[in-house]
Amino acid sequence: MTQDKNKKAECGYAGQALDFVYDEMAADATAAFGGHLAACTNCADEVSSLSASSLAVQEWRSEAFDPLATPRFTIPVVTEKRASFLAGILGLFRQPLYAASAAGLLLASAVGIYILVNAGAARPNVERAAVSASPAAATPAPSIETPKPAIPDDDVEEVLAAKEDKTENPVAAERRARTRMIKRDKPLRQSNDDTHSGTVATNEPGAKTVPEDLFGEVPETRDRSLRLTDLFAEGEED
Amino acid sequence: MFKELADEQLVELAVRDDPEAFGEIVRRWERKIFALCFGMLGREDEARDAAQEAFINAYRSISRFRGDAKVSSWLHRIAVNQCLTVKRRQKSRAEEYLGDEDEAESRMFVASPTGSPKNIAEKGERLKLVRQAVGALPQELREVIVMKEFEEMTFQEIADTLELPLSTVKSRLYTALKQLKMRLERLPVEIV
Ligand SMILES: [Zn+2]
Repeated sequence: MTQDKNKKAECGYAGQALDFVYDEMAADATAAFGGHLAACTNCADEVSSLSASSLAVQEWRSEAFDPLATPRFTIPVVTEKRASFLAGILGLFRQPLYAASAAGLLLASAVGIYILVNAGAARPNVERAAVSASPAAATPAPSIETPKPAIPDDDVEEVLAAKEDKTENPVAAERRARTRMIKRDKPLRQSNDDTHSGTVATNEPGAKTVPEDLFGEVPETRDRSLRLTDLFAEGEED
Repeated sequence: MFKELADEQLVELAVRDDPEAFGEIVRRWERKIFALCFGMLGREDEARDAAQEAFINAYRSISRFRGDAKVSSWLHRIAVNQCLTVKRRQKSRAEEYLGDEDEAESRMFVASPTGSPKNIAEKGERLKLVRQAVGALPQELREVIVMKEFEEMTFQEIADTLELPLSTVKSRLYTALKQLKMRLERLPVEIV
């Protein structure tokens, strides 16, 4: 390259071949350099060399990339919801086995205390306690054996970017006219991106809507403790 | 609603928990980011996965977006980093990268309506060599030639995106083209 530079320096057009090949010269400079090429073999060789590489890459792109449709990119988003009491209880069984077991034991103990406190009370109260305990005590094991994703499916929302709004594809736009040193044996194919669309959203661990704690699902953990308190309060009232 | 907004305004909305604003950013840049990943990696499946990961990473880190940078620069950097991660993985299985797309390329050219079988085979071989030659360039040279040829960016746009002096971009592009020329010299190209 040093040698090339020395050669070009002799003619006063050093470094302009690249601008010329990529058509990034002002019109008058392009005309002047074009005229110079007819008289300067060094610059003509330089342009030929750079163009050959550039066109080889362009051919690869036009054959291998341009016909490809743009993929549909999907980014899952979590919508933050306040968990219901039932969802909170069910959420316990989506936790890892040890966490769910501990939670189940805790809940069963609470129910036991509730029943003891209410022993001898009116029959309708006992029935109510049994119903409250049933989701945790009687939920079948498969929920624990096959834990679901930390984020419930109904909390995941995909937001589709409007396909109709698609503007002209900048990459697939028609190439600018430029000096061609290599003849193509077939015309460029336009990119086929009619089917693409942008899709957004997220429930990724780093997302601010899903704070991380030991077991995940902070809102549900909070909800659980609140409900246990409620349960004790209810027992005391009775 | 989002179409009139600048990229930077869309990022602001996305930071304030409007995911549809980020959807517009994806839609604006998906083709270019996909092109960048294709040029950097040379394979459709890996380019698709890298672009997908890049957008997810961008969304995850959107709150750390620097207001003084351009969104395009930020996305490009994330995508290039993702491609480099993929490349590092490829290094451990280099033979697979260089060989396993032959079949797909052959299929592509068999379906081509022009040219004799011999020409089609020659073209397939030529394109494979170009892909390998681009893939063998050092990363800093590869990214400028991909941005130029696949994304059709101007020298100044590349300089702005990579936050490099214009002269450095031109120098890298010149070197990339010269290195490619040396690698491709044995290719059967038609000179007009
Ligand atoms: Zn000259």
